[in-house]
Amino acid sequence: MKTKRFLSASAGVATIAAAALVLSGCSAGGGETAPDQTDSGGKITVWVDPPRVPAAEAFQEAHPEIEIDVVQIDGTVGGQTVKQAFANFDSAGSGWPDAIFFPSNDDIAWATGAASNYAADLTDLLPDVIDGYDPAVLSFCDIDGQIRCLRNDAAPDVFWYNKAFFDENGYTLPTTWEEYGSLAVEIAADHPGKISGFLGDAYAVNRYLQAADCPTNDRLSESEVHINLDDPNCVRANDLLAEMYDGDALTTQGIFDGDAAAAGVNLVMSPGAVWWGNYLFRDTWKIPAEQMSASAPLTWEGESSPTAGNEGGGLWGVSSHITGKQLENTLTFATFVATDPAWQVELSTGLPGYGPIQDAWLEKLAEDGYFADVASVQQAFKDAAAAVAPYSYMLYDTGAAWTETVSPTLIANGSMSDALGTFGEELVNRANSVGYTVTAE
Amino acid sequence: MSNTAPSVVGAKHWTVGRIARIVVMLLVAAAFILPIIGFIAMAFRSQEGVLAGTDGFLGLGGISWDNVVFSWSQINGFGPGGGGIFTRWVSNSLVIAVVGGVLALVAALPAGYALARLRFRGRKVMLFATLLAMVMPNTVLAIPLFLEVNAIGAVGELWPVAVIMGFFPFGTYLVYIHFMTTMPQELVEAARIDGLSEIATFFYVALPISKQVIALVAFFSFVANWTNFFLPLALLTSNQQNKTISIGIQELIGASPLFNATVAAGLDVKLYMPQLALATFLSMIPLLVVFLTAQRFLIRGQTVGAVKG
Repeated sequence: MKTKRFLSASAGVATIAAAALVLSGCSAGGGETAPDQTDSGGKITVWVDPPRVPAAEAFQEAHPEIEIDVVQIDGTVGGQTVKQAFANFDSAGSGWPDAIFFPSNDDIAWATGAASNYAADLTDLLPDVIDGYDPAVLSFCDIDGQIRCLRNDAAPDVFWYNKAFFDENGYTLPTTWEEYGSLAVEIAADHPGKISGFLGDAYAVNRYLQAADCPTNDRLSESEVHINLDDPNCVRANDLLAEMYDGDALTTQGIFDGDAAAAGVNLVMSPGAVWWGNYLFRDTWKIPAEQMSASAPLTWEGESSPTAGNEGGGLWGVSSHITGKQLENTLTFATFVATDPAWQVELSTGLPGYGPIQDAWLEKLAEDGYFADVASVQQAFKDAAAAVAPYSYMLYDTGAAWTETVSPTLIANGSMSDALGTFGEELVNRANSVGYTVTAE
Repeated sequence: MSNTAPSVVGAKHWTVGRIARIVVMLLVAAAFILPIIGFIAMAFRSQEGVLAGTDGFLGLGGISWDNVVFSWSQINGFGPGGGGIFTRWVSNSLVIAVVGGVLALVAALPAGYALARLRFRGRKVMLFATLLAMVMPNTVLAIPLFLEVNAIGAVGELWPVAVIMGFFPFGTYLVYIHFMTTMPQELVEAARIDGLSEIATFFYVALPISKQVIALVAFFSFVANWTNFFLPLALLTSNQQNKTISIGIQELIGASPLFNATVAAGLDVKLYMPQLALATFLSMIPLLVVFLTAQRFLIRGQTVGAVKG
């Protein structure tokens, strides 16, 4: 009797569980059909990370005729909350914001993937805005020939150096990567403690490997990527870093480390993003005014033009799920935040990605008076944008793979080759784990 | 028969074993208490003091009310429209935690009573289902619940979150155990003989002896609702005005120079460790208030189910 009752109860529970599974499965499956584009009649919703809230508020002030909901989102670089929210919206077939500032540049990879297809193709929607960008600045948004986002700010690497130190000690500014390596070792020998680069942050992979055109993020298609740390371009980066690291010219610290300021004041030169000037040198490391300056990116020996990495520089996306007045207003918003001086010049801390307003922003450098040679810095900033080496944002986090492998390997007495080898393996593992087919050729 | 007073075991003899036990217990207690003191002290310190490392043991030498005032100005300055979003998060959490707790009580008390003291077809199946739902992780249900709430167009609203939080099978199980152990079946039968209906028996006999379990369910439900992360994250992320403190704290951390330097660089407010500690400490206060209010019942209620009455 007891057995019968138990079986009866178990059957009941199994029925409930099965029904729940079927119901949830049906619901989830409901999102597989792409919904039609909708039109709210004009009201738009935008998602921005905390630093971009002033951009949305400036838009509200400039366009009071457009009704807008501003939602501040978690801005954690590399965070998953926005991606998870979009996965829910994709399942439900509704709920996407009309425009978004992606917290991580890597987000453009899933936002343009077939599973989500959130980011609209802006090529024909905003042709005039797109024409205002240097193609190298907008290359990160160029997915299979379609412009799927707009750059908020350009973040190319320039060559930063301590002009006061160089003038005082009579060093000649390097113009090639090889000269940079040799001089870094020479300075480290002449002035122990002085350093010429940081290795421990996620952007170091861009500063050195992207600048060497090393294929870490060479997107072949939505499902294929070319990764090869044995490529000659990677080998030259390896040789450069090994020479400097062995010569005590590099630190395993990252630029964002809590104690990086102590090393930062000893930095004599380094490739670094344009935002290093104000954010790192002036505000974080408190390096006195009129010391730091910048020159154009370096050139690899045997090549005719300079190549540089890129460190950040946010992306705006527009929803592909809207049409009519809602789309029109969203495009007005996207145009404003990408091109309007009220945000880009007056409020934004980054060099505008949109070319026609860069000069107005660069003028502010002169007013600030922090850099040692403002004209040189301004020219370096303008030259750097076009020198950025090709690089695609992917579903895997290259910066995280770098920080988890390179500095730890070096700290454990590994060589630079060991460190980059470990990094390469980690990168391939990460690419495979998110579904890419990795090719070495 | 002896007149000597009873003595506490081991009270008179400081043996090596006794001293070792006390030392171990003090060390274990310190391992738990010191980080909490350090964390609370952090909320009263300044970033300058933290960086300088001159605030002494656990940072207690650097605590001051001025630091709290400054940290609060940074927390309160965070968010669109000049800030003030933190208090909004707290008030939203209060609404869903209280409403969800009340709904949990309203559902759990009669359900637990019925499972414990009534005999009806499907009772054991329901009990199994309650236990099954109790051990099911929140995260498993987040996406199906999102889809259901989306189907009625209520994503971003507070009320669906509160209603879902009212589904609290652990509360039902507590009430079931309570009535099974503290209310004899004979009491129910006596009430029936006296002519009380089943509903009247519940209201006039069962409820008056249920203060402890009511406090227990209310407390555990409030804590579960207050600390719930995934449900508000899934359902409230898209509405700026309706986010809760559990997901808000993550936004604060995401805007801190300690964890997200490039994002923090663009902000007027600076959220370093003292500010994050203060925000977390403030978010704990409602839990502490509820705990202190309910502790008289909670301590008695700990023995629910321990002894069959």
